[in-house]
Amino acid sequence: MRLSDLLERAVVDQHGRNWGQVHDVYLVQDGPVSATAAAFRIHGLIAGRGTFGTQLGYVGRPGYEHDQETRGPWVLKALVRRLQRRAVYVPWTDVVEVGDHQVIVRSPPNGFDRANSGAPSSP
Amino acid sequence: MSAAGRELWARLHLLDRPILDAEGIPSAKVDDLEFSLPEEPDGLPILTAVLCGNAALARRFNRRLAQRLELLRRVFVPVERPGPARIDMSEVKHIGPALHITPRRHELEVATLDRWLARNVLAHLPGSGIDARSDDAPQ
Repeated sequence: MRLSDLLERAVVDQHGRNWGQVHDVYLVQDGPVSATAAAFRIHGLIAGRGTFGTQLGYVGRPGYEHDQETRGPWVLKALVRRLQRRAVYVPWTDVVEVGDHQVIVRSPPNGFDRANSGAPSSP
Repeated sequence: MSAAGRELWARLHLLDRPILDAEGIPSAKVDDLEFSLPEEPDGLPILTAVLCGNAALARRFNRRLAQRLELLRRVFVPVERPGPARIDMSEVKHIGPALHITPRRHELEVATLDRWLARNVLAHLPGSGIDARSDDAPQ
């Protein structure tokens, strides 16, 4: 599987609800340890409508400290955050299948957490 | 890569970043990432390689074009199966604003076509300053 198999793919759950497109993929260096270092593993995805703010780093996301966010005019930051407010974090454990055109996920009863709601829970 | 438990966002922190070889010379950029899928049902995909070059980049925009470029690469690079140039993650020693890798530029698959053009075309142009016999022919 490649990153390009995930980015911009529609995220659809078991009820047919479309959660938007995959904007980015969350990696944590907690995999098998090789001679040099531990491997990075995919822990989750950010999905939502529109990619502008996420790609530029304006939007808060799990594992992303406040001081790491892109600095810029507050008006622009506020506008981008407003547009991205519905972006959600999808844990990889909820991904059922990566298809050619969409990523099938299993959404919890209350839906996925907002992408800027803090650190994700470990799988 | 010495920081254990480091967290990264693939698109924000890795994609399109420059790749610097063992001597710090820009040699390619990150055009895609390769993951191996886990065997166990609840396992997480593992980042195994950085993909770079025209074939890897093309896949982000047009898969059919990418397949043709991957096949075309076999004309220049004797690989068993078509695919983009890859750099194994074991060869990545540091991830920062750029990716630092342990091989030298001329050892990378991605530079094969560039080396061929440098040796066979650019080296014969007056004033190019390229030695056609050198392994370090510039890209």
